Amino acid sequence: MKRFFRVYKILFLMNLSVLTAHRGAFINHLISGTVWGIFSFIVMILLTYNVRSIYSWSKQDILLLNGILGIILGLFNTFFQANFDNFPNLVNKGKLDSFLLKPMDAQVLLGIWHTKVVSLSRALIGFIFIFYICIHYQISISWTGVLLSIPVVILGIGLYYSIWLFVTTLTIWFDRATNIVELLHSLQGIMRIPPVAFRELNLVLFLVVLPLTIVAATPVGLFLGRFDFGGLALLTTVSFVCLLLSRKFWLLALRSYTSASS
Amino acid sequence: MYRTSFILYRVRELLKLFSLYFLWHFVTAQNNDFFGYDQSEIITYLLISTFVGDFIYSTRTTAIASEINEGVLTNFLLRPLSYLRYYFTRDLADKAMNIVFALGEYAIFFSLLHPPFIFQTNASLLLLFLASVLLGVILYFFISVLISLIGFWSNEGWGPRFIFYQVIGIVSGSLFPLDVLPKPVFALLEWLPFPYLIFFQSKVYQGQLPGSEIVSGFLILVVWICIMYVVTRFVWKKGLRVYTAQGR
Repeated sequence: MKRFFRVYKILFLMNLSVLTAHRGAFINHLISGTVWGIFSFIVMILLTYNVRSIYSWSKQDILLLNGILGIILGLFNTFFQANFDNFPNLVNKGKLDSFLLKPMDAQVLLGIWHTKVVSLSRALIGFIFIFYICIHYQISISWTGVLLSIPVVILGIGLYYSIWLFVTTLTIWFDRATNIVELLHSLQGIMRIPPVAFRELNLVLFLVVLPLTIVAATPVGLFLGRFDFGGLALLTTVSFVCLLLSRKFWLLALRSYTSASS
Repeated sequence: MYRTSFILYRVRELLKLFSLYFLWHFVTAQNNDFFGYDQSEIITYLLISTFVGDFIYSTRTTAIASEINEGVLTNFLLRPLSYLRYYFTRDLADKAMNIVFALGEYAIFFSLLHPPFIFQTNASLLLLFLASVLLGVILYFFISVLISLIGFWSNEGWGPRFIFYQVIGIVSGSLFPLDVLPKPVFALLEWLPFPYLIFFQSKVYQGQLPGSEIVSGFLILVVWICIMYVVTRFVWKKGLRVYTAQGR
């Protein structure tokens, strides 16, 4: 564990120095991320302007869902997104070998190689949005609810991570599919909607969509002090199962990996 | 192009459509009024605006900035062809291919979800819709080229383009009909070129514009095309004066 933190600290400082060395790129990323975050919330406010409640979700719940999603996506983008975006290129160009040969678990090393600190701005905007919604709609929240929602948010990030790992691992078999990561980017819209909205879908589609929809939806209830043990149990179970299965899938894929030099 | 990569690109477009549809279906499910639009009208607007957006926004001109920065532009300047005309032709070919596959994606989408879509049967409105889309293609081409010509003065072309996409997503009517905005804001937007990329086309299709507004809309669209053409040519010439490339 100590070695992991030592390696992580070195990588983090490297990423930070690269980021600050190219100030133009840093400012571009910061402005782009901030603008993206703000616009996504403006769109949700507009969409729910005339709405009081949908499928037992109040307007405030829906907006809080999007705020929490903003925090989850901001944190995920900071710590993992750049690594997943880069993974298909690593496989396609044979650069995965250098990670596999290092004396550290390749999945862990790949997950922490890049850290995009500037994406924290999206998480910050999510926090500000939640704060604004609570003030505007006079929502009273308890510290217990806030503190309990933190581990649930982390579980949601873990579930989202495992979904990304599943999808990007496929590039080991389909190494030309360098744009596979864009599939999940295009599904982020689904994460803005509570799971109940998909109950009209057939069972197979619902099960495919469910993991994405519970990532941000489950913490909302806890944040508001509503203890939905069923939802929490579902998120916990699905997160751990997906994390375990994605790890197994990754190890299975590595057995099929042929390096560029072989 | 690699087949898997291409198929994934098309699947991604289909998934984006699903995501957008589910979001709007959710919002209008128990509240059949979105600023005066009922569910079928807003879903129709959404699907038409997405289809038109896929057609208009798909462009190869995003590569111009990197071609300028990397000096690849020199190869084109030495050839006996107009660089901008080359890109326009390339865009049209790309759009022709995209539209074939987009129709297939929409067929899959309709067969799976049966959305409450209003099919326009008025032939004259359909012709006007097609004409407005074609003019929108030309307008967006010049706007996109103008953004890419930043490459003559800066290496950081993607940042302004990304922000531009975010802004244009709202002000063109891609995400929601612009007439839901407060009247002063909408009145101001009507004088800008952006509503004539998506919003105007969608409203023409839905037959929700009186004849006078269709005529004025087309006039404003043509005027903006002329303005953007002149500005693009001017910036292009200015850019060429500062352009330098080595080793080619």
